[in-house]
Amino acid sequence: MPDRGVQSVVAERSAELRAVLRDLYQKSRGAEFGLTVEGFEQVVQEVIAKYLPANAPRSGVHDLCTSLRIEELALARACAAGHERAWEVFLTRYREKLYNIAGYIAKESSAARELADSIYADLYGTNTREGKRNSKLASYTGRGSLEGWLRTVMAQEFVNRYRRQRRTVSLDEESEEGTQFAAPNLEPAVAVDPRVETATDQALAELSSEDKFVLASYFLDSRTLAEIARALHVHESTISRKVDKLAKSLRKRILSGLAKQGMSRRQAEEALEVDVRDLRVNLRSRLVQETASPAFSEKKAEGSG
Amino acid sequence: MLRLQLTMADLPKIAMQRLHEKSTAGGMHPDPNLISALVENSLPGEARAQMVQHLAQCADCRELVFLSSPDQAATLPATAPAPSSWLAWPVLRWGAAVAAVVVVVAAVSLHRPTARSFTPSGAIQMTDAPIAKEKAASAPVPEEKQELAAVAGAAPARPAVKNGGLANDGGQRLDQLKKQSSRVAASPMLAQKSQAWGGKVADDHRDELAKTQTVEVTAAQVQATVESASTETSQMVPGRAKDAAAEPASNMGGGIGGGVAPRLTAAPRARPAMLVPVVAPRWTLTSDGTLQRSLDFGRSWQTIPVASQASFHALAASGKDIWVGGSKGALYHSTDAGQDWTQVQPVAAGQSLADDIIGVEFPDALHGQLTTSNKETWITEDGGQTWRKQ
Repeated sequence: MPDRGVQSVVAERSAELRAVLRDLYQKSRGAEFGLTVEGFEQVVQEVIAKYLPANAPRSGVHDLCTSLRIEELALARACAAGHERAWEVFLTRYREKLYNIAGYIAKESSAARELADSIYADLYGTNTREGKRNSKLASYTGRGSLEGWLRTVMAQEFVNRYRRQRRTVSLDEESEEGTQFAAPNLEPAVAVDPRVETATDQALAELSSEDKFVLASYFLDSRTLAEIARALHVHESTISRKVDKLAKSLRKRILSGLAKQGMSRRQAEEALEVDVRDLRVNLRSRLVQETASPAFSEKKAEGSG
Repeated sequence: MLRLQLTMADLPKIAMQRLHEKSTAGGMHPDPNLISALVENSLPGEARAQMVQHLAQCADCRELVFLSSPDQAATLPATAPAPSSWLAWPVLRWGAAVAAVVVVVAAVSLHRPTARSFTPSGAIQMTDAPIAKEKAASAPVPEEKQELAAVAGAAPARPAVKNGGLANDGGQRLDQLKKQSSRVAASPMLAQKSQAWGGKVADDHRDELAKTQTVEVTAAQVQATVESASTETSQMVPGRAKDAAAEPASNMGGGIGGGVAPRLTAAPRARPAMLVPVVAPRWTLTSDGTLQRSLDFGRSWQTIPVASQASFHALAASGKDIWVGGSKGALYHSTDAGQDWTQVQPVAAGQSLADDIIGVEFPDALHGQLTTSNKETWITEDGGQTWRKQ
């Protein structure tokens, strides 16, 4: 729970940390938005408690504090607190960006406007809790830029909306799309040799997280090389080479694992070919996410709440 | 979008199935703060590794990461400049292409007759030509200037040389040219540039003016030079995070203040360096208010130090003219593509601009306006010398 973390961090904070926080307060320009030193320190302590364990070393706390987007954090928290001047600055800086981001995510003008308006309402805090506005901006912690955070929040809202709409699509629309008459998506009925599964699991376990991310993004999510490269901040050709190399080496490792389990080369090759045929189709349909699994933020909210 | 699935090795289907099964793991998901920090490449190593580990197993979060990644134009400014390797394949590939062009150009120029007797009427003959030639060929050019020269496509230009010219008083010729330039200049700013340009030539070469060789610089060329400068000043691009406008074609041989050989000493007709492709620098402001420049179409970005305390929110860039505005009225201007910066303090009716500058627009070199965070508009009509508030 954040409160316990806050208390312990507050109890242990040194004069050095206090000096750092004072310095950060000056840089944050929180005073312009009615944020007091104590209020600001409380905000930063909450962030520290959220991301670091209570017994985190001072250097870690210092590094986290100095890496925060302090000015944007102060602005967001001041907006969440309903400070009028802060809202003016926020709207001046981010109003146009909100609509641009919504346009990029939704790809369609009316949907984009609707999405942006919806997010704006959440940011402003139309819901009230115990007489106080509950603004989404209060959850911004300054780890990334405020603009990037807005983009992520909007993407999350867009995905949630899309899934909600998919669940409530009318029968007429389904008929027009031909969904009702589509062939049932049968699970592959081919039995897989357990030795193949074992060898595959072993080969996958040897991959690094980043390699698995690249493979999953490319082969499961059908992301383009450019998209993956952008997410990992490398060049597109690097991802291209990596995907090719990983696919080949994975196959080689599985074959090697099967050979260790007594299969001949030919048997191993055949075992790799004879199984799940319609996996690609299943994976694409997986993206539609007809299941009622909540988005991660909701899970997170449940988890943290 | 590059999609190489046809040529790329495919994954065994069993591997895809097992990967898929591992990709639907539940558990605690990262909050949007961490996702946006990952997208912006601002997570420290350990936190980033944890995030990637989760992403490898969570299709929902992967979807969010990709949706949260801005498009190409917006991403590059937002990300930290990637460490570039000179031995990277794209660099080698383009380097080879540029090297081939240079070799061809060199071969063509070597086979051309060196003596040019063409002297159009009204030509002005100068005595400082060999100096410019020698300077361009041998004088050490600062690394930063070389880089900028490459950006502007300005290969060190050498003048056409002719023996036995008119008088050897290069200073007088320079004065003539400066006068001529100032007559053609349409604006005070341009005139100022021309002065500086002429002054630069004089400073650079005064010590060698006693030499007897001459160079042809026609009045028409001077006119073209000044006109090209006018074209440059009319290409100011307002707003934030934009590419600088490309240099006009006529300016490719070395522009005013380009930091290489002054244009006055170049003979445009004879320079095969004109074939070198122009790479306009791209400018952007990061979300934490740092100015960055890219010289390779946005693949990598370098931070341009302007002022240590200032955080910038808006910029206008055109060629070598850059304006950046930011917190607490910080306004800086560079006329040499970011090498040197001058702080401009707008004052109107005895009041200094102290609010955050959130918009900078300079449709031309003289006329510009600033928008502040309290919705004031500050206007200049003389390139930032004086301001009035609206």
